[in-house]
Amino acid sequence: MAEAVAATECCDKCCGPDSSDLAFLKDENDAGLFECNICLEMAKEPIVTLCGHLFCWPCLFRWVQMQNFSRNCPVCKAGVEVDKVIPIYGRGSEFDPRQEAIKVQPVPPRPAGQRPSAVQAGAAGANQQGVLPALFGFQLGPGQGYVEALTPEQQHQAFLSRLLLMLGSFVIMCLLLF
Amino acid sequence: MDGTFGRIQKELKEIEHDKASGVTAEVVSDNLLRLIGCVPGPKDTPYEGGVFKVDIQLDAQYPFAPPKMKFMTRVWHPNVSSQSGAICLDILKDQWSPALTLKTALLSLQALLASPQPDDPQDAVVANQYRSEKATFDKTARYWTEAFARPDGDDEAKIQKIVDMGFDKAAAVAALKAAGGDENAALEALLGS
Repeated sequence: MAEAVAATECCDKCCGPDSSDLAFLKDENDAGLFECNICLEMAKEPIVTLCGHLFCWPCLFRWVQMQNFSRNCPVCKAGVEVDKVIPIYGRGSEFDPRQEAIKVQPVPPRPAGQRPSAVQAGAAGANQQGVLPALFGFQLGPGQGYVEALTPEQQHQAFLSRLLLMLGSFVIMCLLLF
Repeated sequence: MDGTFGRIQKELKEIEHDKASGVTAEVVSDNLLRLIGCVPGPKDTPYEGGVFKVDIQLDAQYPFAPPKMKFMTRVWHPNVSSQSGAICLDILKDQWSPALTLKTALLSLQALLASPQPDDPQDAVVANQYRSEKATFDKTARYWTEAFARPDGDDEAKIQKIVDMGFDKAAAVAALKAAGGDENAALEALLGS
């Protein structure tokens, strides 16, 4: 810290105002990345819009409530819907003493994040195996390990759709043969 | 409310550090809600060389509500009232966004000086002149800049002049301020008192 102060002084004295401006940028840059675009403080209850701009949830909510006709991102004017913002959960950031103060205002809790299913890295390869192996539940190739990441619900659905396909093809075969 | 003050303080710090933009803002009240901004006249316009003072009034809703801004310095411009200094600029009205700051608003005023919008006028007389007699408009705007928007450096020269005549510096500053920058009027006031 002392070094930084000394460096700034040095810049002020010997290198003119331009250098001190740069020193200021260097100091503030890291913090600036995570500042709310409205209150300019480190974002509390941070959320990010679909257009990628960071805000405190109370700040953005207040702005959206104040707009009657169209709801725009304060930075880029892209459309903003409160249920489509993405909350950011940092490590151990679930409790914040400042939240007590926030609760006094009529700001609802942040919308929860969405939970898309895990991406199957081998999905393209599995399709190339043809219909039949997939139909009967055979898993070949590199996709195998990723299927376990499915949630029980998704596994259940996959099982059902496979069963229906088998039944359907059985009926068609019966119709063709007899 | 705390958010409002925190943000204003942060903005002032930023303006102070960023000298490259040329605009400045100073608090003139105890509660941070009244400020005076300075906008240098843009280059290659009749406003070049002038420094335009802007009265800035914030309220507790800031930054969710736009700052109220008007020119204190008289300006000859289609989108600025030649009488009251009221400004017609969308971002100070319905196009305001809380991501804008005093600095960006002052820079927008500078951009407005550089590119008048006569189709959306604040002062109809000036707008008509801008459309029909551009040369006369330029001349008038330049004259107004020289008459009303002289930078403070001139004031210091005047103060020095008055001090050289044997008056107290603080009294000279006060008299010059009271006389609106008119050196002779300030001298008369000092001699009269």
